[in-house]
Parts: sequence; structure tokens; C-alpha cells
Amino acid sequence: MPELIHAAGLGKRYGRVQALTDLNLSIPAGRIVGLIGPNGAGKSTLLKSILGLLRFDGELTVLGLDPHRERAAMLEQVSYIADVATLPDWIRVHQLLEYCSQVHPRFRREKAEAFLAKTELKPDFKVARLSKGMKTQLHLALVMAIDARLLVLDEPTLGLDILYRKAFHSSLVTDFFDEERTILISTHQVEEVEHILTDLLFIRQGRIVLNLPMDEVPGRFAQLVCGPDSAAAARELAPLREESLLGRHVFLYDGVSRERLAPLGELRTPGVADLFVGLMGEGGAA
Amino acid sequence: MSAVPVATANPEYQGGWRRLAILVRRELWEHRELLWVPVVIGLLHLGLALAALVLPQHLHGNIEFVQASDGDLFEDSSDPGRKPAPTTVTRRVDWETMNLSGLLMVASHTPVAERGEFLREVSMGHARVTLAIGGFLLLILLGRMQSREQQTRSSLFFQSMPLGPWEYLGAKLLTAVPLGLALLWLTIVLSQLVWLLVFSAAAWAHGHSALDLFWRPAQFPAGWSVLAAQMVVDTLWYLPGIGWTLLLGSLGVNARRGQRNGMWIGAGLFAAVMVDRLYLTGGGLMAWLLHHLLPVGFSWSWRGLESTSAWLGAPAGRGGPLDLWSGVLLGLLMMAAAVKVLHWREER
Repeated sequence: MPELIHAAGLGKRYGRVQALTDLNLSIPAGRIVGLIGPNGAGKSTLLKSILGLLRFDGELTVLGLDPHRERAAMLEQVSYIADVATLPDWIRVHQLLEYCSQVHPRFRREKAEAFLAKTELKPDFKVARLSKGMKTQLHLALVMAIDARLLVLDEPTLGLDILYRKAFHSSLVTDFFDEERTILISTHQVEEVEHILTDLLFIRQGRIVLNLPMDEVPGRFAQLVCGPDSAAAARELAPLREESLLGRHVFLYDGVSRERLAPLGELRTPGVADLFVGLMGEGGAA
Repeated sequence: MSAVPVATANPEYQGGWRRLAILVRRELWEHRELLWVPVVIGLLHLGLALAALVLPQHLHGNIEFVQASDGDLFEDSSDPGRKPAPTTVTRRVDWETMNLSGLLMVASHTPVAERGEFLREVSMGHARVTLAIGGFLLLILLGRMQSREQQTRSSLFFQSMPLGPWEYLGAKLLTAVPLGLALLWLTIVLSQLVWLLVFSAAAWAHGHSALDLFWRPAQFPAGWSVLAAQMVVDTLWYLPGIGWTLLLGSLGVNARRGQRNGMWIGAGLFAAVMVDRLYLTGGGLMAWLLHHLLPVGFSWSWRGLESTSAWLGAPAGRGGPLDLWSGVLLGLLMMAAAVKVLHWREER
């Protein structure tokens, strides 16, 4: 698979604050990568660097182009949704379609119109009068109509109800994603995107702490649920995190074989949220 | 690694100048003020010009007209060299007693070659006032154009389109300055045409031939072309003001505290008005610096003629070509600085 994003020694400093430090990254085509980290971890800085909105130190190419110096050329194949507040309030639906179709070389108006036909949006609707959900549908219709190879999403479902969030994620997979395209999605709602992700990218204090395909998670991480009688033995295996729940103990392990854990209690594959808490939380060992 | 080739799949896609046109169009969608400000200014101009027909004494001061023995009427005090002194003054007509019929009388006694100039003076006497207001509003608008998107975060959407930064800002500048001025000019011209129609109707009602009096070829178009040229030259004079407004707007851009932008613009305009006053009464290097750093539309009303003479090659110095072109350079530098500041702030 061709490499869409390549970073080597990527760094970014805001005055005295080092937002990204020596970040190395390679994202090929045909992946849905979840960029996950706590507030202030450097997610937005990384996304802005990828989108050419920031100058950076080190090496970074997107689709083989320097995102800062060759931004306009790069954005012909890269789409971006920040959150629902970024569509301008003063514009009407038909004006957005006209604007995009005349400014973007890879936008197909008929595709956007077909997408909008499945919604309640009408051409003369003004963005200011749309609900958050409708704004998301509109933005999604615009993005889906762009023949992009990389879609960058930064908290795209912020403020939406569960129905719109589900529909949004479903559209990403059914209407956009294929083996030639990659989606890079940054979100705090990790449980909701977990089922569509192919890769996890955890970032903390400007450094990548986990870069792993989802199908390798069960082989590397394990969650053990056991009673108080096995807790002492479980602790000896150096868990990433321990928590107590209704009298039972839950341990998260990285790189401990399931054969060693199985006799101690019930084994599970941790969810993305469990990994996030385990690797990023106060008790995280990473 | 080589760049991935792009195939243009969109039949509606516009490149080059056509793309700039859609960018300008998008600015007009957003900034409807660019359309209604000239309309309001045009109506104001028309109102003032029509009022001058009815109440000339309040608007033209106490200029005296002298009717010579041959019947010609000319301004006595304002332009003594325009006509040889009459051998016999048959009567004096002053503006205190002048009204619509008086204006018609003056028009009918003004030689045909000078009638266009006379009509321009009467109908465009207030153009500079209205242009000053219009220019002032356009400069405020220019400051808002670049700051509003940052405040509403819609800049993120527009920045997701494959546009170069100069294309993006160039469209804003193109919309606010040449297009805004052209719209302003057009409304002034249209309001004068309406004024002329009203004046013609009045002439017809008073038994004059409106066709002979007012509608000879090249009477008004000459004035309009002078006005357009003057606006272009004025724009060059105000490039420092435009650059300054952009710079203030870029300094004031703050997505979290949008109100600071208004404070910056307000402070800049206040300073400009104060400096304008200083410049009118003072001179020297300090006045030059202040004038070029902080001029805005208020000056439009009095700088025009001076700037036109500078364009035509007035001596170097204050109001001369050196003054003009150094100001142009300074304005362009401030625009470039505004772009840099914008990028710097976006990165923060």
C-alpha cells in the first residue's frame, strides 16, 4: 500500500511549549486511524501540521507533498472536517455547492446533491438556521463529494446526538472508505469509533505512545478480571493499570502472555477506552 | 517519494482568473454590505444633490453671480479670471435668493463649453462628502472581512479548500478595494443620472430645452471619467490606510476574544481622525509619518484634488509624486506584514 502520511523527527514548538517531539509516523492507504489522546496532547497540532496550517520542524510529507509549502496542491486530495461550527453561518446550501464545485478540482456536485437528497436539506436553506445534525450532514455531503485520498476529521461529531453520530460513522465507512483512501480521525468518543478503526495512534505530551493495528491489540494487550484471592499474583505480573469494581479486580496488561494470565481469572480483550485509560491515565505505565 | 498525480474530474472547476471571480463572488455573498453601502451612499448623494436644487443657499454659501451686459452670467468671486470683467454689471444674483429657477438661469447663461463643468459642480459638489463616507465604510468593511472568519471559525472550512494564501487574501482585497470603489462610483454616476433627469424635468417645466442644456454628449461622461480616475489615484493615496486597516485587523484577530478586533479597529480609526485633524493644521516630517500611517476615509473629502495634481506631476514633497509612491510602498509593506501576522496568529 502506498504511504499517504510520512513523518520523521516531526517537532513543533509554541514559544516555550514543545507541542510535538520527535514524532515518527507512517500511515498507508486503506486505513482508518484513530488519533487519540488527552486534551493538550498534541492531536490538533499534529492534524494542523498534516493539513499545512502550521510550520513544523523535521520531515513531514502528505501524499508525497510538503503540506506547508505545497498546501494548495495537497488539499486537492485531502479533505478536512473540524467540527460542526466551521461551516459559515451566512451561506446557503446551493451557494456552498456552487463554491465547492468551482473551486475544488475533485468535487462532484451531483454526488453531493445525491447525498443531500437523502436528507431534509433544501438548496435555499441557510446554514445559520440548520441544526447541528443537519450541518454535519451538509458538511459530510460536501466531503463525500470530493474524490479525496485522505480524510482528516477533528472531533467531527462534537455536540451531536447519538443518532447523528452513528449515521456519521456509518457514512464514513460505506460512502467514503476503500482500500485507496485513508481516514485519520481524532475524537474523545473512542467507544463509538472503535468498531470502524483499523489502527490506533495514542499521543501524549507530543509523543506517540502507541501506534498499533487494531487486529494486533488482542495479541499484545489483555484484561484480567479476578477475585481478591488472585489479585496479589496478578499484581506481580506488572499490570499497566488496576482498578476495583464491585469487589472484583480488573488488571490491564501489555505484552503478558494469555497463558500466564488465564489461570488467574477471566480474560478479555480490552476496548480502546480501557487502553486509553491504561496508557494515558494517572496509573498508566507508558 | 513522488507526489500523487491529480486528475481533474470536476467539469465545473474553474482555474485562474475565473476561480478568482468565484472567490470574489463568495465575498459578496458574505459581505452584503458591499452592495448596500454604495446604494445608501448613492441615495445620500442624490438626496444632497436634489436638496441643492431647492435649497442652494444653504449648500453653496454666498457665491455671487454677475450678469454682464452681454447677458452672460458668471461667478464673480470664485474665478475672476474666467471671464473678462464686464463693462456693465446689469444685476447681481446671489445664492441667498437663488433657487431652482435661478440655477436654470445660470445654466442657460453658461457657455456650452463650460456647461458640463458647471453641471458637475452643481451635481457633484457633494460627491466628495459621500465618497468620504463611502470610503470610510469600505475601509471598516475591509478590516472586518479578514477578521470575521477567524472569529466564527469558518476560516477552517475555507482553508480546507485547495487555495493558496495569496489567492484567498487577494480575493478579499480585490473585493473591498477596486470592486467596492467601482460600485461606489457606479452609484454616484447613477444618482447623478437621476439628478439630471429631475433637473431636466424642472427645466422642461420652466420652458427650457433640457436636451440642449444638459444632454449634450461628453458633458457628464467627462466628469465621470475624471471622478473614476480620481478615485483610482485616491486609492493609491490610501494604500497606507488600507494596509494599516488590514494590519490592525490581523493584530485584532482573536477567535476566543473577538471583541478585541473591534477595539483595534476603533482605536485605529479614532487615531486616524485625530491625525487627519493634525495634518490639516500642521506639516513637516511628523505630519507626513502620521498621515501615512493612520489615514482613513475621512481624508477622502479633501485629498482628492491634491492627489490628482500629484499624479499629474506636481513638485516632489508634500502632496507630490514622491509622497504618493512612498506611501504606496508603505501600504504594500503593511499589507505583507498583515499577511505575516495572520499566519503567525493562526499558528498560535
